[in-house]
Amino acid sequence: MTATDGPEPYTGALSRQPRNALVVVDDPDAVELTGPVFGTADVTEPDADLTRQHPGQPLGERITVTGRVQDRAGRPVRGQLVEIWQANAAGRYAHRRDQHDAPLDPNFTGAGRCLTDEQGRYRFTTIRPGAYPWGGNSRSWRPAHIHFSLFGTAFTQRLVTQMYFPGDPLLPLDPIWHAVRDAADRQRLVAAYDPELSVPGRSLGYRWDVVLDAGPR
Amino acid sequence: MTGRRTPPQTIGPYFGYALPRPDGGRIAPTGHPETITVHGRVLDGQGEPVDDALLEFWQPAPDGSRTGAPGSLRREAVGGAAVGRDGVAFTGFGRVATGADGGYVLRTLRPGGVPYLSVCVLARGLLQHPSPGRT
Repeated sequence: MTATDGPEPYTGALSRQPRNALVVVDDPDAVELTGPVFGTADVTEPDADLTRQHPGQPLGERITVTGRVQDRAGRPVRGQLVEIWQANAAGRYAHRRDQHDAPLDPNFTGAGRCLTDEQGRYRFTTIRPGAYPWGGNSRSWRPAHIHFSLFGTAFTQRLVTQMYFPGDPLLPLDPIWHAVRDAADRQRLVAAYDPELSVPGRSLGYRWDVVLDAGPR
Repeated sequence: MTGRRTPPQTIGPYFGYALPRPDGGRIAPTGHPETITVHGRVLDGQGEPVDDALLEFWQPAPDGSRTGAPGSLRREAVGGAAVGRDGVAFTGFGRVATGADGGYVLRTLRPGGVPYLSVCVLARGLLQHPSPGRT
């Protein structure tokens, strides 16, 4: 636990929180040391390019987000499903419960998926999502973020999280980012700008590596 | 062990257009005579239905094998439409979003070798995964 001068951390929806401490399973059953598998039937190649899912180009700053998925022992997680979803450049989700008064983009849905390659790498082309206000306090804006869903080779490695952008002035004020109490752990959720990953004349490159829980021993 | 794991964050309220798929809860092959239906509701601590939860199920096949199979979230290759399952393969994996009453339905086959299904519960306002992991 790290002391923080940031905002009061988000503690989740009160009525949904566990009443008892979570039980760490030291010896998950064999079933949970395996997990679902996905293949070419589940993912088509254009799914990883969120800028080409409609007749026109979406508005916004085009970016390439790529990185490596590995377990805590450093082993690449190969051939597994990575799914993302995000707001458009104006900070609006293509979801009917999002009532933020910002325009929808007819050329952007904001959902993508791909399978990791033999080195555990994933790669998406998308646009940088916009910030948006949340909660009752209109001065509280979520920093730009992309939601990530990842599978490992074991069901216990399942991970759903959010990726942030470096240098975002909203980050130090974001209660949800601060829901991760450890400062070093919080930084694990922030991508790095990497011009080597930029596609010349087309997109800005960001690197974000992911470490899943231990997995099968 | 080398690295620390990437921390989880809440799934938030807006995954609905990205993660659920047609037939996500239909693990059993179409018309299989031994299909079982597992159904229920997700409720919060006040007993109110949770209408924005995502449940994921993982289980062995009836013969006890745990290799799974691809095809839980099939897409049509040319147009990219989410077409659901082929109704043939037993993938062992199910994904169901709850309805307005918090309800879910899973149609599957009894797992071989173990008397349970593994379940992962994801919902807005939950900060941890159900399996908090080893550190």
